[in-house]
Parts: sequence; C-alpha cells; structure tokens
Amino acid sequence: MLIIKNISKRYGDFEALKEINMSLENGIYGILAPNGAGKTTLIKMLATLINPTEGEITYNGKNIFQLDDDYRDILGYLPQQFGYYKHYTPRQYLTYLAALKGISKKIAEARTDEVLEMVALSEVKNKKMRKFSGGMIQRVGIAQALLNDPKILILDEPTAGLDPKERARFRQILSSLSRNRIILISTHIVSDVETIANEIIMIKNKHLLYKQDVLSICQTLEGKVFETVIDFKDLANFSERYFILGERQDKGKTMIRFVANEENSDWKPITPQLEDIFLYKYANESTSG
Amino acid sequence: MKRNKFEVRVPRDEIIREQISTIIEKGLPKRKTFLETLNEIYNKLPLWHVLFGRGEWLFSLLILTFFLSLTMLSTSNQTIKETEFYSLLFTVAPFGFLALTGFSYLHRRINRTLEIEMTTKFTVYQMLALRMFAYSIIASFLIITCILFTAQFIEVNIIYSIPIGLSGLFIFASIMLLLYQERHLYIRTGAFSMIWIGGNWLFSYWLDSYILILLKLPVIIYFLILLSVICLFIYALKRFFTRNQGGAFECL
Repeated sequence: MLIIKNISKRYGDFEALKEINMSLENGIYGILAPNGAGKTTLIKMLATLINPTEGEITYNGKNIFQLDDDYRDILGYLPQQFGYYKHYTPRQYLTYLAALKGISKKIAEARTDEVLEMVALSEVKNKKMRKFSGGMIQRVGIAQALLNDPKILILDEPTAGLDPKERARFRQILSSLSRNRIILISTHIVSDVETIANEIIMIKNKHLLYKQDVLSICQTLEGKVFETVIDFKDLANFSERYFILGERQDKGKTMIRFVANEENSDWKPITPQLEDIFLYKYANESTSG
Repeated sequence: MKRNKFEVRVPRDEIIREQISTIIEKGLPKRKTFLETLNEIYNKLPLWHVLFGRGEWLFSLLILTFFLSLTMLSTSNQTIKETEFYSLLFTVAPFGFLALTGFSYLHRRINRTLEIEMTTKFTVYQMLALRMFAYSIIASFLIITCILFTAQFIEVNIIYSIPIGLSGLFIFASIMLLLYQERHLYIRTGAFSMIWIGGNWLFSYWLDSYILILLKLPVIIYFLILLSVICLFIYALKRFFTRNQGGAFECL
C-alpha cells in the first residue's frame, strides 16, 4: 500500500502542493486537474524525482526515499515529456532501459518483445525512432514503463498524441494490468480515466479536493445539472445566472447543459457526468498550462 | 476490596534507545555496500552498451583529432619551452574528460531521457560514476597519445609528462565528482573550470623556476603522487556511487 502523509511542496515562496493525504491500494487512480494544479509535482514525488518539503510517502510502511533503488525496482514511470534517442530502434532503447532497470539480458529480450507486442509496435521494433509519429513514440514510452512488470505504474499524460483507437487499446491494457498493482494516471482528459479508474483524485488550489469513485463524485452535483433549449439572444443573460457546461446550436435555437441550484419545469434534469464536475469545479482555472 | 499496587518496570533510557535502533535497522532495507553494488551492476548491466554509445565514440575521436591538431600547431614552430609544456599539459589534460562527461550529460539532457533514467533501479549517479570512470580511462589514453605525439616535435621527458598529465586529470575529475553532489551543476562546473585554468596559469607564470626544481625530483615521486591522486579519485567515485538518488531531479 502506498501512503501519502501530509505532503507539501514549496519552491521558494511558491507553494506547489499543500497537505496532501491519501492511501492507494491496487487499482487504477486517475489524477484529474488542470495544468498547473500540482499533479505533475505529486507524480514526480511519487517517482522519487523530487523530495517533498514536508510529509512523507511510504510503500508498505517504508519511506520510498529510504527504500531508494528497492522502490524504483518496482516502479514504472512515464513522464509527461517522454525522452528518447532518435537513432535508436524501440528494441534497442527498451533493451538499454531494461539494463538500467536491472533486468538481466536474457529476460530483457523476451520482455522487450512482450511489451512491444502489447503496445502494437512489434512490426516496427527494429526501425529507427526518428521516423515515428507522436503516437508511436508515446507507445514506446508506455512500453518502457511496463518493462519491469512494475507494482506501481505512474503515467503522466499517457494518452497525449494517441488517436481514439490507440486510446481505447491503452485503456484496455491498463484495465488488464490493474488487478495486482497500483496504477496512477495523471491527465486533464476526463474520458481517459472515467471508465477505468477505481477512484478519481482531484487537486484544486494545491489541496486534495476529491479522492472518490466516479459515482460518488458525480453525486455531488446530483439534481443540479439540467438541459434546456433557449434562444441564442438569451444565452448571455442565462450564463450570468447559471454555470454553462456546454452548448449546441440547432435550427436557430441553443441547446444548453448547465448547473443550477433551483428547478424549473422547462428544464430537463440530467445525470451529472465526471466531465461536468471537472468543468464546474475548475471553472476559474486554465486548462492549457 | 484491597487494591493491588502495580509497579510498571520501565527499561532504562539506553535500553530504549538500543531497542529503537534495532527496530529501525530491521525495518529499513539494508544499504548495499560499494562492492555489492558493483558486483550487481557487473552481473546485470551490459556495460559496453550503457557506457559507450555511438556518440561517445565519435566524440572521443573528435577530441583526439582536436588535441592532436592543437599539439601540432603549438609545437611545429618549436616556440614552446619544456616547462611551459608541463604546466600546459597539467592544465589542459582534464579537458578531454570534461568534454566527454559534458557531452554525455548534454546528450541525455537534450533528448530528455534523464527523467526516465532517474527512475530506474540503478541510480543516475551510479551511471554517471561508471561513465566518468570509463571516460577517465579514455582521457588517459588521449593524454598519453598527445604526449607521445608532442615528443616527436619538441624535447620533453615522456616519463615525467605522463604522471603530470594524468595527475592533472584525476585531481580535476575528483573535484568535479565532489561538485556534482550539489545543485547548480552548470555554474559549479563552469566556475571550477575557470578557476582551474586561471589558477594553473598564475602558478606557471609566477613559479617557472619552481617547476624546474620539481623536475629534478626522482620520477618515483611523480608516480607516487599519481597513485595518491588515483586513490582520491576512486574515493570520490565511491562516495558518488553509493549516494541516495531521491530528489536528484531538482539538482538538474
């Protein structure tokens, strides 16, 4: 079990995270937050790349920074910007990383082929990566994170650059792996984690906002999400009174989805989705960086 | 009802401290020794593959060509004095090593692979220490080649030159290893390189006659100094090698 105890991180006067507490057991956890909310800082601490200013992180009761290489031995990590050597083939690069992960050469070769097969890169395993598309590179990144069959798998924005088919395949891979390991996926794309995560972790203003299953989080807006059709000219007025989640133009009319604390017989109540919560909770925060 | 008076026997402070130490010792993973880690790396890492990429080989050749050209240019008109050569050799000797280490680091930095390499079982410090060890061997060969090459053009004592050049290399490398332990890597490396050049230049400028006296010392003294410096380098490598990696990303 991975336990985060009262973690804070400061860079000089800037506070990146404040008093985060949570425990993680086997399963998939989606960390949802806009960029700049502190999710990459949390991820980097869990990967032992940066030290917390306060608090500690333990794995099975032991501090991960003291466990050092014993912890990294069971860790798989995909950073937000996956680095690679252009003149290497996926097979060469994965063999190199397998060596750094302490996997013996004999096992590494078989394991490299296995993970490349998982991410559907077997056919290009001996081609130089300089000619690869962004999606293919990202799949190499996912493959390297799986090399040592990690007990803790941390993926920072793993679906960036993947097309819908590749994303679906990626979700399938993670679901099949989640039974006996902790998987943490940091993303600001709700659909990446909505269907596969056991729990969603939301961070806002450097603090932990939620760590609950999707249903429980969605229930926080139960009875407050509606749909209705209005004239386009009334939209500005409407958006001043209610929080607009989405709108669609149709034959001169505007179909809107919104949050309101009151009821109206003209409005159709809608079951809240995770995306609605995300938009509502982070209404005043940028998602672009 | 008669109350029994219980007495709780509290152990002495030293015993409590001893027991806490025992519990902590058993709870925490045992730290591997330098030799145990070396043995593990030797068994698991294909060293050749990890230490020398195509880039490192090409870069080594480039450095060799550069230094040989420089040697040829500076010695062809025979204006350089023997004493100047020794102090120049001592000053310049580490720069092949520095260039290789810098190339290896920048190669990883530019390709953004350091972040992943910092989350693998073997620490980035261990890899850097192994690379520095390997580069010091390459640099030693570069220095010896340059000395032999120079000896074709001007009169220099090869037996003196080799320990002088290698001592320069290993003193510089040991100090670099100690500097790599802290933040502001670029600034520290740059500042130290400037101090090294400036300090050696001042030394050779003011103490020309002192070098002449030094050259009268028996050659065994030079080799003993070299041996001590190599021991210092190995000590610095060992300290670097067994360092805990947590939070290293912040040092970049």
